[in-house]
Amino acid sequence: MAATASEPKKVTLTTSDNADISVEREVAERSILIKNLLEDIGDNGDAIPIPNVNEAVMKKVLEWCEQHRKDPPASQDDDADSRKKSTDIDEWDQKFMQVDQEMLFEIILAANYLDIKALLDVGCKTVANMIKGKSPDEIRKTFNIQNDFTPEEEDQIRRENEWAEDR
Amino acid sequence: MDRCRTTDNDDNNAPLPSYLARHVPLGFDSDDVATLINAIDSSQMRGSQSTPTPPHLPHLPAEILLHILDHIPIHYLLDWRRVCRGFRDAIDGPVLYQHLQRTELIGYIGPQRTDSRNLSDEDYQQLYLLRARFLCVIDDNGTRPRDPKQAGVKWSSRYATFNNEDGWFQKLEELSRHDAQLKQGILGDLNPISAFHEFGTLQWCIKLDNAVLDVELPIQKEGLYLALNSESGVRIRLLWRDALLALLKSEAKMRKMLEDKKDCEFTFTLQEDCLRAVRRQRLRAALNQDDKEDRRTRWALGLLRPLFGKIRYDKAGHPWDLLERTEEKAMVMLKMLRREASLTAEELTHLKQLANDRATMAEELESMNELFATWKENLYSPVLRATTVAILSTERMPDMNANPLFWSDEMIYVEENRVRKWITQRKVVEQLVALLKSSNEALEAPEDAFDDLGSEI
Repeated sequence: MAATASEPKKVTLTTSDNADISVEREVAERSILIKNLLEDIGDNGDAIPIPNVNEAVMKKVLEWCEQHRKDPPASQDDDADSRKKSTDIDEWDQKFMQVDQEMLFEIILAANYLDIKALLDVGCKTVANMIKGKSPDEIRKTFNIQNDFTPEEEDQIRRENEWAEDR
Repeated sequence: MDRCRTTDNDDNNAPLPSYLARHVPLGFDSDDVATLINAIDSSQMRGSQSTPTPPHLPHLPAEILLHILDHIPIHYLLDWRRVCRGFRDAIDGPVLYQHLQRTELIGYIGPQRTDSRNLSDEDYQQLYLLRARFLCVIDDNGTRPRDPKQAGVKWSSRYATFNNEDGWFQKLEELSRHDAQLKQGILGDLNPISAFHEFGTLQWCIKLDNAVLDVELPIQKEGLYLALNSESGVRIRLLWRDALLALLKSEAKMRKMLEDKKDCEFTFTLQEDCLRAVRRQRLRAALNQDDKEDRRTRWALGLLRPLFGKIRYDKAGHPWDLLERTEEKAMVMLKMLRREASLTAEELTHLKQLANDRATMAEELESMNELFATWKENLYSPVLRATTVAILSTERMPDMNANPLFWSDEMIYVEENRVRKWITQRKVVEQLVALLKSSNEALEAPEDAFDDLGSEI
């Protein structure tokens, strides 16, 4: 790739299904994993294997990175972060996240793997909002979790969740 | 499916190079997460087991589930405790602790009144709410846990400390220099176990995201402790877990009630009826059946104005209406605080701007009225006075609370229109003011001017 100084630098990512995706380095570096990788091994023009993410998901993730390429890096200050209202999602992200549940889960997994905290946050918020009102049984099905409560425990939790009955 | 899992545990046997096998730090301590992940993992069924799950959905690793739990809106959180042991333990521990960090306490000194303290409206505005943010958790001895990094320490601490950062205490000190009684008075108003408060008085609120409600009702002796001193300012110690769970319970209840009653009639508004109903329920739950005084209060609770459009047959007289008046006062403040908590930053700015514009408008209208009055004085013709009054009399603006968060939706709508109209007419008003000014000058001038002229002639 004969890139001149004015042209943005590009990197190539090879996805789990062997597709090569060429993307601007700045965009790809929204992923801390890729950023560290490029710093560690140096950019020698070789394609970077991303064995945990397939092409469809990778394209989606890169679309997000493109949109958020100029965002300031996430603050390291957990305390300041946790004081923010936790359910707000910006408009573009809301539209971006209008995908089926499978894709949504894949995006979250990819964001986790690629170390893109902001995308992971948005994904988790979206899931939380989407299924917040489901019954415990539906939640179990969604996440493939088994109910490991004894009937007594279930009873107790239900009581803990409510006010003492009117005397 | 396991290809996607990138937990710490995978570091040992992962086929991937080490730099690929990392995961995003989510703000939990790794020790804490490890125990919880085990709990969730053990309840999470993998592979092709008997549970009828959608086959296409990928598994989310436990630390991501934890992260999702952090973002469940607080009105739903308690239902999620019922999913599995892992979720329950996570919610009772780190998730509730995350929420604690966003929690605020708000103390309310009561309505502006003149008998017990002497505060100007302006000073009252600066003192009537004492807002305190979460500072740290403390153990039973009142000290910070020695090793807060140790797993579970943070959320097993019984108490949390809150402090005030907006200069409330400095303001109180300043005012107390001229009025020694003031500090005592306000401290008494904020003292959670003061005997002088009517049952159901709004005094300490707990705020989390868009929810604001009374801290437990009534506050138990241990529940909330207020300390003031010149070194550290305001410190509040809260038995935090109970207070947070009580808030979550009330909010969940209110959410369900809003759904159930959405087609019902209402007495105030649907929102307000639900808020009052939940608050009454909490008050009732706090009463002791064996206590004579409490049984009287219970009776009085039943006499409060019925909600959801039910007809009231007779209005309770003194002393039974005391509770109703107390509720009324509490609701004014609670509604304001809840509104403030539910607005976005932009909406808040807009409201503040509106209030500012309105204040400027009131000022300008006032000065115009003064000019006009002078002008009338200067004109001696009563006939002219009568006709011009009809042309120029400006509508009187209603007296309203300076804080727009107290305004109802209708009031905001009316004021928005009023201010908009004023802004479009501003040019004309300015011309009118200029005209009044110059004609006032002209009218005031002649007497001497005429004398001077006359003498010359």
